[in-house]
Amino acid sequence: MRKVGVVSIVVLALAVLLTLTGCTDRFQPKAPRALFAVKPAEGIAPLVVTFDGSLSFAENGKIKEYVWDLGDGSQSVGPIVSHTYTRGGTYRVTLEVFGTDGRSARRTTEVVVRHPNPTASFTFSPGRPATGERVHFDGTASESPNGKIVDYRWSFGDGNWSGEGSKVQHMYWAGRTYTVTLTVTDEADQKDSITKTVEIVGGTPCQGA
Amino acid sequence: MRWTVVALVAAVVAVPAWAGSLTVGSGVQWFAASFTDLADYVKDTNRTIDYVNELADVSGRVPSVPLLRGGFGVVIAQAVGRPVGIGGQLLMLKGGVSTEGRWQQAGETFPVALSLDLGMLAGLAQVTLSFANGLLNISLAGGLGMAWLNHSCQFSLPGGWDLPFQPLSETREYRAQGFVGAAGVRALLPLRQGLSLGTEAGLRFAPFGVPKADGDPLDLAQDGIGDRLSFDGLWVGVSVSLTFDL
Repeated sequence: MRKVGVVSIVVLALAVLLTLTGCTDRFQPKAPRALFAVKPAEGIAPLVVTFDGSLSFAENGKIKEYVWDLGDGSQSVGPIVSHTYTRGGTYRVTLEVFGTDGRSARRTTEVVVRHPNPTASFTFSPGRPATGERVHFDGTASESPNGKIVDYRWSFGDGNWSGEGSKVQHMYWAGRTYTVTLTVTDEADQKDSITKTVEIVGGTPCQGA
Repeated sequence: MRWTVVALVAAVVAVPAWAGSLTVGSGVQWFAASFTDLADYVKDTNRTIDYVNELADVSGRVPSVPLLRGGFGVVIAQAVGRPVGIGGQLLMLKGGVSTEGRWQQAGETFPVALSLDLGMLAGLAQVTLSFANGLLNISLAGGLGMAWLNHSCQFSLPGGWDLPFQPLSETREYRAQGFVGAAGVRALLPLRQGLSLGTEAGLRFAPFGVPKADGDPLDLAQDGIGDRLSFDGLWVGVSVSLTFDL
């Protein structure tokens, strides 16, 4: 019976030892969990995004610090932060939380900010051109919040010719109303178009001759 | 693997040497295991559920997922010899948790149904030391096992907030294989000639690593680190055994 007792004690001691050291991690320190919510996760610039990291938790203590990498080179701290993305792009946002025991955890998500469209605009002169008269089109009033306008494409409505450049000239050879369209493209490859009508006065030049 | 085969062969070859008695038995167990990685997933999920439950523009409620702490199992065993017996056992463990509910927002319904069902099947070679005329047994067992985890999840999130962590909507079975070892103590209460009722307790080692489904590792926590499935832990159980003199 003495042997039985010794063996039983050894087995139980072994069980307790293994339980405490490796069989269960109940007594081991655990890293906090980084969880957060985003609103909205996508939209058009300028986009104000709110990040709520209050979902994060630490089993062994509390969250001591919330550090946000907002993906556009800026950082912020605190459980709930707001940030404005002024330019389009996909931003990787990371929350890193630190527990009171010094352990940390992080989680990353993406915020998709779509580029706003440029605004196409043009003027032409003279206001009532005649057939065979040179008409000046000026698209330099077009603008984009994404940067420069890199491409101007004109459609003059007479089916014969299209032009490029911010300022172009064109002559019409028949008296009627034409639909002129300017399409601009900006640095972010965003496009916008505007259409105006141009009334050409008079008949064909040969009729006048 | 090699040692398991050696143990099984030894068990068969050694029968004549120990063939003083044959004991067969079966039992039921309750086992405790921490399922650490799955617990992280459940805690993250519950935190997410709590967050949505508390959103002002969302009605309805989804209950939290209970923490996985263990389950039940059945075992059948056979051993020959006394006071040193050798034999084998077949062990099956099962456990699981689930939740179900729905949220409403602006007249739209967002159902949630999540269940985790896991289990383990193992064949073990076993050595038993008997004391006190067989009333107290200490056993060591080792063998191979297969574990599985069925993850079934439908998680619809109301609009507004976007949550980087959401439970994966999927229905998949993840599987893993690995070594299983156990050490246990059993006390027997003789009921009549050859028939005994036993109570037992022990410690099990069953680390299965990261299970896979179609080659994809289990990563329910979505942290890029595979979720390990382990049945390591303690168990207690009751058993009935029959002993025959050979």
